[in-house]
Amino acid sequence: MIFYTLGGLLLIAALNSWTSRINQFFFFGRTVPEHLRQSPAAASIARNYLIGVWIGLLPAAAVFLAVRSWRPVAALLLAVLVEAMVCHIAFARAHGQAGMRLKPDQAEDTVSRPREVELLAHSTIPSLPAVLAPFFAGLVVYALAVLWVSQTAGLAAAPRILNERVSAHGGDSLFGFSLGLLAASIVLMLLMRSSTRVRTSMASHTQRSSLIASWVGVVVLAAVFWFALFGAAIPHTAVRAFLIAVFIATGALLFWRTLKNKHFTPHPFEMQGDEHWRWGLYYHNSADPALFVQSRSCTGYSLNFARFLAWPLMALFLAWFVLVLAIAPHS
Amino acid sequence: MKTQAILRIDPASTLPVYRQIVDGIRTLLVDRQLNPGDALPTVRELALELGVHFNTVAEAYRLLSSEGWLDLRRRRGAVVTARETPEPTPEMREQFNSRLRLLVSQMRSEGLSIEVILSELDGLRAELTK
Repeated sequence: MIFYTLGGLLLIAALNSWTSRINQFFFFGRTVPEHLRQSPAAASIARNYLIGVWIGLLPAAAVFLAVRSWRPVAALLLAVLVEAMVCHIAFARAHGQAGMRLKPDQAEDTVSRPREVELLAHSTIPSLPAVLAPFFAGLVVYALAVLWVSQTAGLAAAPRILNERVSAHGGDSLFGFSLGLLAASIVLMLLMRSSTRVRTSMASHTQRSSLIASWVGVVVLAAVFWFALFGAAIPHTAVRAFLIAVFIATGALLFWRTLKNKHFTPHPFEMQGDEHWRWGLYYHNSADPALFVQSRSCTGYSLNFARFLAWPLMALFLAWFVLVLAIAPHS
Repeated sequence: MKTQAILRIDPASTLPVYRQIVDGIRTLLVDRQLNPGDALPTVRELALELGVHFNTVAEAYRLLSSEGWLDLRRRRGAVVTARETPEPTPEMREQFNSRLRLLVSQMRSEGLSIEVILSELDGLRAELTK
């Protein structure tokens, strides 16, 4: 466990150091002119930020050592949380310094700035039927499996027997995985298409990735039912290998997205909105109707905390994190 | 090649934003930069792009629809319709005439010389007769 933790912490520190160097949209990027970005003041802020990131390893390691004899998995998660918090504090500090030292004259607010829109440029996100298709495909797969079982057990008892067969064939975790993937990706696509600026490369990329993820959920669901009804039991090692492969693929995709951050130029309305990033960490703009905005690192989305829905969504995310800590195995 | 139909708004202007949207889209329609059959963004999409409240865009679309420019389809945004040019009445002509005079007086009161106003009107005339 100690090697996993150390590896995870080093990875976070390395990623934060790396992105601060390559990502031109970070705290110097969006509004600070090129010559200021290259100035000694900018270099000093970046240096202090990097020192903060690497110093963060110490409290994270201390937390891990203090908790690991009690709950090793929880200790790992807590250590990662502490490291992430320290990185965020270092980022907030750098953001504040950049605001004060590099762009003191920029008082104009995005709220009062003129805006323009090309009316006939349409978004490239998937259409609503395409978004809902995996949901209906999942329903059809489930209905077919229930109908197949009902031939011998009757329609009323078929769902229960299907569940028992899935459990008996070792498909419980894959079944949960497929349903989670399907539900999360479809809900995210529906939520984002009505609450983000969809005519950006980031929105297209996110929607297409979510669509692929939802179809992966359908395929896994179909495979689980096929094994439960016609195949042999799924070996535990195969399930684990599959889940690890998905985890690595997701990590690789996120890494690629960070690498290609310059392709994901934010919408002009968000591009100049540095003043709405409080402490550089979270977005709060009551004049902006968007719920999701492109993150400051340009490789994902952040919530607009001036919108009410952002708070229950954040509470849900934190509840999930607490749940993982609570059910983490003791050994 | 099709020209870009750009809608501009200025939140700092004294004119309400919904009026700016109506005026902006109407100008694009009259100038044939938007043509019958063109689909405009949905209310939500345009509101998010402009960074204004959804109701502001909805109100602007409703006004344009009541003028006969747009066909509002549920969940499909707004589509430009083939609007028939109405026959102007003498009262309407008189109304526009007085608004034009009012505008010219306002320009003069803000310090614009008669030469500048005439030059602007000449430019407009050239655009209209093009």
